[in-house]
Amino acid sequence: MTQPPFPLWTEEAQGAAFTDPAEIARRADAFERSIRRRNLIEYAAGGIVLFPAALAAGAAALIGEYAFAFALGALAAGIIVVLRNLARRAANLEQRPEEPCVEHLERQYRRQYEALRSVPTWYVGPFVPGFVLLYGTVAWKTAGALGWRAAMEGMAVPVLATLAVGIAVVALNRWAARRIKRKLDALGKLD
Amino acid sequence: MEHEVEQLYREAGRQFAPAIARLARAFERDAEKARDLEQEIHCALWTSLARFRGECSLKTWVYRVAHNVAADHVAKAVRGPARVPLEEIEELPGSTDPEAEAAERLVLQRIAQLVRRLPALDAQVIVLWLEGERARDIAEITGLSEGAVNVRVHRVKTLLAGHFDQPEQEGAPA
Repeated sequence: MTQPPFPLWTEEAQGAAFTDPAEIARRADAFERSIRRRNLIEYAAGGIVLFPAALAAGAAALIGEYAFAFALGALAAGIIVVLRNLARRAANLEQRPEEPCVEHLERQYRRQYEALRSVPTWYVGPFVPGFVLLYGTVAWKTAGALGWRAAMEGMAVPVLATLAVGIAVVALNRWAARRIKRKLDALGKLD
Repeated sequence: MEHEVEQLYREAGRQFAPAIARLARAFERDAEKARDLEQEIHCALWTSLARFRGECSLKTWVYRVAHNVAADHVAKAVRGPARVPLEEIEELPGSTDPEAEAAERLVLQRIAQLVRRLPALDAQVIVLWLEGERARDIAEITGLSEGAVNVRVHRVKTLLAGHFDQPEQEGAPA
């Protein structure tokens, strides 16, 4: 340790003390409660999305529309897979704040980079079978009643809109991943 | 085991509590949030000390935990002004009162502003330098090379010298 460059800096906060361990335990309990609450809210939000798809699949099966039931079931399964992926990624966060700062930053950036870059696999991908089956079934049913031309015309807007949303999600995440990659590369050049 | 952790924690508190409080205030302008950050660091330290096996000094361990928690806090915070690397900053964040620039307290306020504008690693180096830590220790804490630390400290000294009559001998990292 050398002479601090600005004595006033080190004269600040001389009365500071660490939080009492009992208070830390209380805070840890409160933190765990807030995590549990947050998880419950996330599950509830997931349920709100999942419930209509599952309900519609059940209703379609009841009235004998098995193709629709299968498609909606695939969509519901996609939602479950995405929710599970989200939960798994949150649970995999390893906390090791005692590592050197560069390594800590690198680990954080790498985790964010890989999560963003792989969005097509773990976030967009699971929805694809459900949407393909659903739009395919709608087109097939419409074609049976009105012909394939009418079916294609009717499906063009929803299919293109869904594709556009999917592409936008992937592109935005890729763009964010590239920004983080630049930070990662900069860390590699620090020495 | 818990008794050992508590002993280490109390020892760390005895030695470093003021430095951790200053660090939190340097990284977080809002006093209440700075206090929260300080407690967040204490909690992270308490949890991490169960893994402390003496591979590095207690000081290195404490500063690593504190700086990493502070960097995560900044990353999670609402987006502020864009972070600018130290080498791209030409002058300290401005003051409109030229007379008051002579006061050391104002200098420190402006350095704190500078810290909040810097990317995490640059900010960590500056705060450790302000604590009077040597380049070798800063390098061990941050994981940067001594050369990289010296470059950053030199850059800050140059910034300071451009605006204040900064005595040359102050805080030169070894």
